[in-house]
Amino acid sequence: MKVVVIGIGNPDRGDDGAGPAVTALLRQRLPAAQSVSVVDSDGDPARLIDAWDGAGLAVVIDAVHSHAAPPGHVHRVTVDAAADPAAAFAAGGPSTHGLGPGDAIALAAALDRLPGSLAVFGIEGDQFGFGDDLSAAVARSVLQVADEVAALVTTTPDKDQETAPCA
Amino acid sequence: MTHRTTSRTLRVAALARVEGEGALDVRVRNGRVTSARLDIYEPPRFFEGILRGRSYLEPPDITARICGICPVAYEMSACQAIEAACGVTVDGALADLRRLLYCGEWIESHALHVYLLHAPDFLGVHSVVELAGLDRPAVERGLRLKRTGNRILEVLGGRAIHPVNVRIGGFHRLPPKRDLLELAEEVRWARDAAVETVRWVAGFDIPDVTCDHQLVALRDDGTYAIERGRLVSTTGLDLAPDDFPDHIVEEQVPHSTALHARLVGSDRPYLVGPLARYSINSDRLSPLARELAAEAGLGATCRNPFQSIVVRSVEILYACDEALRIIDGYEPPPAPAVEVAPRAGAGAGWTEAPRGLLYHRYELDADGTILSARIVPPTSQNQRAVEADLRDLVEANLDLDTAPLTSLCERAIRSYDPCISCATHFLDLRLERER
Repeated sequence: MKVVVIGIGNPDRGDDGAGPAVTALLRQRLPAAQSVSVVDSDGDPARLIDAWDGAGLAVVIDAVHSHAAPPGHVHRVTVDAAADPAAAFAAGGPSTHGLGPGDAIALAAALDRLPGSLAVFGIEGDQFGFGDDLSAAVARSVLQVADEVAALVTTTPDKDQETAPCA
Repeated sequence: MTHRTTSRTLRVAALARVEGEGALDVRVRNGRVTSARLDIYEPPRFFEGILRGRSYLEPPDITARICGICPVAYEMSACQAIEAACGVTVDGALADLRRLLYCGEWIESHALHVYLLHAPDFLGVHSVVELAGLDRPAVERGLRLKRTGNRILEVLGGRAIHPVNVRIGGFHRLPPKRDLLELAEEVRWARDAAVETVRWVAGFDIPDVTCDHQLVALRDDGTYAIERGRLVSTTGLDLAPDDFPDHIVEEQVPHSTALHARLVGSDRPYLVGPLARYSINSDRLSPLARELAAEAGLGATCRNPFQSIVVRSVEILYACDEALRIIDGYEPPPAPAVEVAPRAGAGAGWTEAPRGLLYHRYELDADGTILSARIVPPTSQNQRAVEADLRDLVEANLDLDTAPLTSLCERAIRSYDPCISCATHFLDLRLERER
């Protein structure tokens, strides 16, 4: 089964680099034999959909700024293609460009191009200035999310033998 | 419903489906528009300041970071300006590869705008997600077209966002011919898809509007200008890059971090981008692109901003045609780049970014250190024209309710495909201290 891990964000904008920070750790930690594709993305919907095309499992890590949780809080969302995949996201919400990851999920759902399973980790950010480092709380969460994603992608192929893809 | 109120304000706090962050503010009093402003509040980004003191070899990589949509435009204008300063001309197969890379950017950027951002305006839906429910094959075609453009950038540029293979004098590494031949298969599909795209958008219900702006675009011998040419206008300009500062000035306005550009000696706004390019160069299109433009109802010129979606589609088709022409004739040059030695002096360069003219000028000292840099992107050049159009549009449609009138204004802005992140510019800071 194709497994892809996608880190969204800009490492030069402080906590926005949380996603690429997780993928950087995973590139070092995942065993070479593990057939997991680890990529970084700017969140462009067309490129995101291409990145997870045909995957049985896709894991997306992105920074979020919801104001509803303290910095470093990890939002975990599993997108269920059988339900309303876009419901968990505010499609068309604030983004520095025209369309964001929420739109990508909604668009992929409309085109039947969601991965079999899609897990989204949103790390609540604090500082997004030019050239900022990750804030301490976010840096701790990056380590935690990297552990969780490593465990998820390492165990998933066994699960897949029992579970049919849902999209 | 007809409004009889004497004062109205239309405001969109955050424009949707445009690149970057901006707002719209229109004020009406006694049937006249007293103010029409495209507010750009994205922060200034200081790139011209960053470039000072850096090596003459760095602008392509640094300025590519200005925009994730049109990095090639920045790389190409920067290369051209630096090479001009150093007295070097890059031609032959290297110039062809640069044009091929640029074709990829046009296809990617225009497909994004036509299908994901602009088409919903004409089809009664709010977003590309809704459009996918209405016309799934069209959205799939748009996504694959966009991917074709990305693929050209990956093969020539090393990656689709902020390509890393471009350098002063040419490229770091030449693409193997077999990679380009593989690419040609996908571009051939894209050319057919582009034909379908032109026919698709030609069927849209497009408002009948005419703008009276001066149109400004590059014009080149024999080809539809992309990465070189002289700057020509519908009012008689015919400039070389070094002439630019004498004819176009930029000014600050209080409501925007983008500078406003204007032609010296004229209060009439000018417009760069697809409408200007097409109107000045439609005779330079490939036969297939010309044929489809005529089939879509375009004349030799186009002054309707809402029709820009048709012009962009024709330009996608032309870019596919050009990409195939270049790939078919490609023979690898002897070296990936020509040598460009530094020297003291100044040089300017310009190219046609997807949204219009992008001008760069650099001043170097003898060892190639950058002493000054100036970058004029298309969106800041168009801002006065967009605001003038908004003023006319509102005055002509004052009988509309506020919601549809606001929506019409948003559509007008999207017609210009503004890239606000490109347009944000350095603002002078004046600090007065009391002793």
